[in-house]
Amino acid sequence: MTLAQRQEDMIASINAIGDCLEQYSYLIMQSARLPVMSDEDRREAYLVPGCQSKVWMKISGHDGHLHLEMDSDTLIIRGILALFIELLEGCSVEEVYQTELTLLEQTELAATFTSDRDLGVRSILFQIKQTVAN
Amino acid sequence: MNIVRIRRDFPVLNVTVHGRPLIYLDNAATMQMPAPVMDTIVHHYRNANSSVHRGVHTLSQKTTNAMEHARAKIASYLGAQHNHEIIFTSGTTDAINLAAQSFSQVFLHPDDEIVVSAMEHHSNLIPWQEACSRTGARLRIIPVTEDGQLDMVQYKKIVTEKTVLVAVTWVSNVLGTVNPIADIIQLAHQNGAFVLIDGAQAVKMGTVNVSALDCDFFAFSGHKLGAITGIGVLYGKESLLEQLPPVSFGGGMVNQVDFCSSTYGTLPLKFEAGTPNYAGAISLGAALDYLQTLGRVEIAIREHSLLAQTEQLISELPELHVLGRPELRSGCISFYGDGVHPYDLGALLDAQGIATRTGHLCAQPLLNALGLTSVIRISPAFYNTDLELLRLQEGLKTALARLKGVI
Repeated sequence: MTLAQRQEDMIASINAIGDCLEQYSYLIMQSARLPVMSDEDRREAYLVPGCQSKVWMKISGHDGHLHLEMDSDTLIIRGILALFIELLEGCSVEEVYQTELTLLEQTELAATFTSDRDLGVRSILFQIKQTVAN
Repeated sequence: MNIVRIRRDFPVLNVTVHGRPLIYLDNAATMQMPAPVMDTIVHHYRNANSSVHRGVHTLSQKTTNAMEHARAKIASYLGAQHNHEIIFTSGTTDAINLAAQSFSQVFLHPDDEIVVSAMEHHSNLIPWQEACSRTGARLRIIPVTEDGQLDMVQYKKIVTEKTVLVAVTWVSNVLGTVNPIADIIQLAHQNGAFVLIDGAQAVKMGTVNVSALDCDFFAFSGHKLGAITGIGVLYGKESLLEQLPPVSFGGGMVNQVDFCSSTYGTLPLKFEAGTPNYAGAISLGAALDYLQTLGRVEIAIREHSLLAQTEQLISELPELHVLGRPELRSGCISFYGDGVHPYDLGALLDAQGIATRTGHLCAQPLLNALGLTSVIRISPAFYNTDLELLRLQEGLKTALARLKGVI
C-alpha cells in the first residue's frame, strides 16, 4: 500500500473513533507504543520549537528510507508521534516528499493540533518534509 | 445572587464545546462579557463613533464625553481622588511598562533598589528588570514561603532606605494568594519607597480603594472585568504623575509644537499619545456598571465560595496536589498531578467542554521555585454554578482514569 493510501486509512479510522474525548483516549493508548527516547537524545538539539509540550525528534535516513525517533513529555502528543511513526517509518524519502501529509487537517484532531496551542506538532511534519526535500 | 438570571447576561456560556456544554473556568485570564457591555459597544458604534478630543462636531463630543464619563466611573470604582489619575492603557502589561519607563527616568539611579516578589506575573517583573539594566539599579526579590505566601519576615529585611519602589501583585495569578498589601505599602512608605500594585487579579475582589490603600500606582486590565480586550488602566497618584515624563509621543498629548520643541499636555493626556482606545474605555465603564449592579461585595462572596468548593473538590482526588495553603485565596487555584502532564489533563478536560488554563501561567520564576514547569489553573467567576464545579471534579476523574492506564 502506498503512503497516501495508508494515510487515508488512518484518517478514516481516527474519524471513526467518536468524539474528541475518545480520540484523545485513543492517542493516549497509542502513546504506550512509542519507545521512550534516551535522556541523551532528549536534549536541546532535538527539541522541536513548540508551546506547552516538549517534543524531541531525530530524523535520519538509511538507503533512501526515512528513520524517525520521536518523544514528548505529554501523552497525547506522544500518541500523535506514534501515529506519525506508524505512517512514515521506513518509507522512501522520495515517497514522503511526493505525498501531502494531511493527517492532522483531515481529522477532528485538527482543531487541537493546528492551533498555536501546539505549534510544535505542526512543525514536526514541516521539519520532516523539509528534511526529505533536502 | 440569582445565578440562573445572571447567566442569561452571558451569551457565550450557552455554546457547546466538542458537543458538550461549555464550563468556563478560565476567568482569571479573561472574564466573559455580559450582554449590557456588548450593547454599550454596539450603541457607541451605531450612535456616536468618532475620534475623541478637539472635535467640534457632535459625534466627537459625544464620544469624548462617553470616554471621560468612563474615566470618572473608573476613578470612582477605584476610589481615586481625581479623574485625571486614571490613565488608559492597553492592559496591565502596558500600564506597568508605562510606569516603569517613566518612573525610572526620574527616580532610578545606580545602586537604587526595586523590590518585587517571587510570585509576580512576568508583566510585573520584566519591565523592572529592564528598568534596572538601563539605570544600574538592582532588583530585590521577596521570597515565597512553602505555603505559597510572601515571606514578610524577609520583606522587612529587603526594604531599606535604598528601596525606591516596591512593585507587587495583590493576588497571585497562580496560587490565588491574597498578599497583605496594606502592610506591604506601609513598610515601603516608612522607608520612603513608592508602591505599585499589580491589581490584575485583585480588582474584582470586592472593594478596592486606592486612596485608602495609599498606593502610588495601581494597574489592571478591563478584559478580566467583562470589558472588551485591549483596554486597561494605570492609576497613579496625582503628585507622582505630575513629576513623571511621558514615554510615548505624538498626537493628543501636546500643548504647543514647533520644529525645535514641544510642550506636553496636562494629566492624563500627556500619557495618552495617539487616539486612545475610547471604545475600550467606554466598554470598561459599562463593565464596572454591570458589576456594581450585581454588587461588588456579593460577587466577591460568591466567588470566594466557588473557589473554596473548587479547592475541596480537587483535594478529594488523591492524585492531585493543590499549590500553596495561603491564609486567604482569591480568584484562582492551581494544582498538578502525580506523573500527569498538565497539558494532557487540560486537553482531556477541554474534550469534555471544560475550559481551564495550563502551562507556566507567565510566572516561570514562581513555578521554578516550586519545582514545577507547568500547572493547571481553575478560576471560577460568579456566573459559574456549583453543579459546574461538580462536573469539573467528574471531568478530572475521567481524565485521570484515561491517563492512568498508560502512566
